[in-house]
Amino acid sequence: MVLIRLAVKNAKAILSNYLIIAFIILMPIMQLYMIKLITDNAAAAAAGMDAYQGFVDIVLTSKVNYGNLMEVYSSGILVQFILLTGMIAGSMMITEREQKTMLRLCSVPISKLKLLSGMLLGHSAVLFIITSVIILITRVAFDVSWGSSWINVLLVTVFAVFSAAAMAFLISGLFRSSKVAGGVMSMVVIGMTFMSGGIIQSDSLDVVSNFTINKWISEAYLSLMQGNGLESIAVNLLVLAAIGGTMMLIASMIYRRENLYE
Amino acid sequence: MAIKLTNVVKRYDTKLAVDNISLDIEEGEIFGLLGPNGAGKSTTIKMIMGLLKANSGEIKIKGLDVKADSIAARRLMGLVPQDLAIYENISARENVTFFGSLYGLKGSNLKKQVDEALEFTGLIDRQKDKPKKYSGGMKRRLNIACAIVHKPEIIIMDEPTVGIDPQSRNHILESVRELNRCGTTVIYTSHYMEEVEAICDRVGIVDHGKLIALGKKEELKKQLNKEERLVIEALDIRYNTIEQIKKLQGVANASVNENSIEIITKDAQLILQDVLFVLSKENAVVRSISLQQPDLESVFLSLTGRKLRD
Repeated sequence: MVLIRLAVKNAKAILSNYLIIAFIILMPIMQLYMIKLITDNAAAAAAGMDAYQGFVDIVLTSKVNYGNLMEVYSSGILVQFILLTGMIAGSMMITEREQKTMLRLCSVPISKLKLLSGMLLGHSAVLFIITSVIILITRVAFDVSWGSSWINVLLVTVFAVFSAAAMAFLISGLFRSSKVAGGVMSMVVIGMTFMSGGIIQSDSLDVVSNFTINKWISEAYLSLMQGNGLESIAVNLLVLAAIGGTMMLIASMIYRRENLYE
Repeated sequence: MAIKLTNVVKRYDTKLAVDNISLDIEEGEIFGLLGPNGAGKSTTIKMIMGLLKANSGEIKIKGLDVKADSIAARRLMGLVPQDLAIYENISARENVTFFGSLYGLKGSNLKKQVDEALEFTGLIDRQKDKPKKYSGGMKRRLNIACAIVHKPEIIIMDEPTVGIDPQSRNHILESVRELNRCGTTVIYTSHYMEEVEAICDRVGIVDHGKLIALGKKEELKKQLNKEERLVIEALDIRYNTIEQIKKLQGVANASVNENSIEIITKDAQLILQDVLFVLSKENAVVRSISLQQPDLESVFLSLTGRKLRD
């Protein structure tokens, strides 16, 4: 029960930042809307419709591995915002330390493991809700196909949330100031998005992208969008579990320090 | 015995923060832990709460070892931290309810005890407000409400009145007395001597990690019975003046606080002329001279050569 109370309290604390939550949900939707507008205009121009001619030029500098451009960007942008939400949740853990509430939490009669698990559970729940909302909006508003099996989408989302939460947990354990951690977290998210080909797709990023969470999540979603089944994403899920598990292990070692609350 | 510390040592790298402290705190007493900032009070408190591990020694809470039975021991205690440890973005009631629930309270029992804690701290009328709308004193009271909601047998208050107005301070001190009347053991740390003097039964004085004095207030003051406390109000007191006074024959110790010089001596009459001579030589303007009863501040000054808030 205590675990659930901690999880609920932490989830509520993150969700109470209405502006940030609205930004996290609306920003990817707006990005996708702009992309849809550009691609529609380009398509219209290609079809010779006068009204759209000259409105936009599309220059192909990117390597697109999978079909529909909207699907590619939907998965890429979604991953970026999963990580971003994870980072916000992670910074909340540092805020607990800065506001000294962590000291009080450490003085209550519950184990450190239960305390941290409750917090992580709350953060993961928020991540899961926001990811699901973005997926649903892209499906309804932009007709993005996330594949034939919602269960598989759910599975990828669970693994994505786990790895993102683990990364945030790790970074929040390394830094004592939420401002420093926030800066580092942002750089990590942007860096990984770039390395994974989320900004520019290029052959030269093929090798380096293997070391990013983004690539494995994005690729799994895209594979499902192409109509593939669970067997096509098994490796991605295993890699995400391994990355998340390793980061969680390192983070739990960091959080074993006695003055966890400082 | 509520709390028993035996030869407790805590080091931070090479710095000895708590140096072999042994201490017994009886059930139902208000025990004051007095000492200047950085003396080792908060480290001792954190070790009692199980938040820090002692390098050596043993701490028992009602017979439970803090290391081995950490969770059971913490269930008996409530901590009022020195810094405010409350959530600003949820209401006072939600704060108290949340922390109460972490102690296993639920349902109508939780609601009842939350009501009692808010009533006790005088926040029941403002329970729906978020702490960011509260004054400093009200936030301090909420800090206390969160610590007492589960009705702990032992309450540890680490400088609970820092930075608040006299009215809120009085309210908090009266709350401490009331909790104690209900049978709660209170450990009260402060560097405000007058607070400890007002509410505590027994006092331990800590300096540089060592417990340098322990006993009832009267016992500690009796140690100074053969000494007198000469207080001179003067203007233009220089550091050099105090150093010269300290060197005078018959002066046990001397300290300065703004325009007041406090001198501990065995015979005030004997040294008075010499002191006035030094003050005159250093061009200090004497406004008043008085001979006062020793207080805990005098005890501390006598033991350490410093004032509590130096």
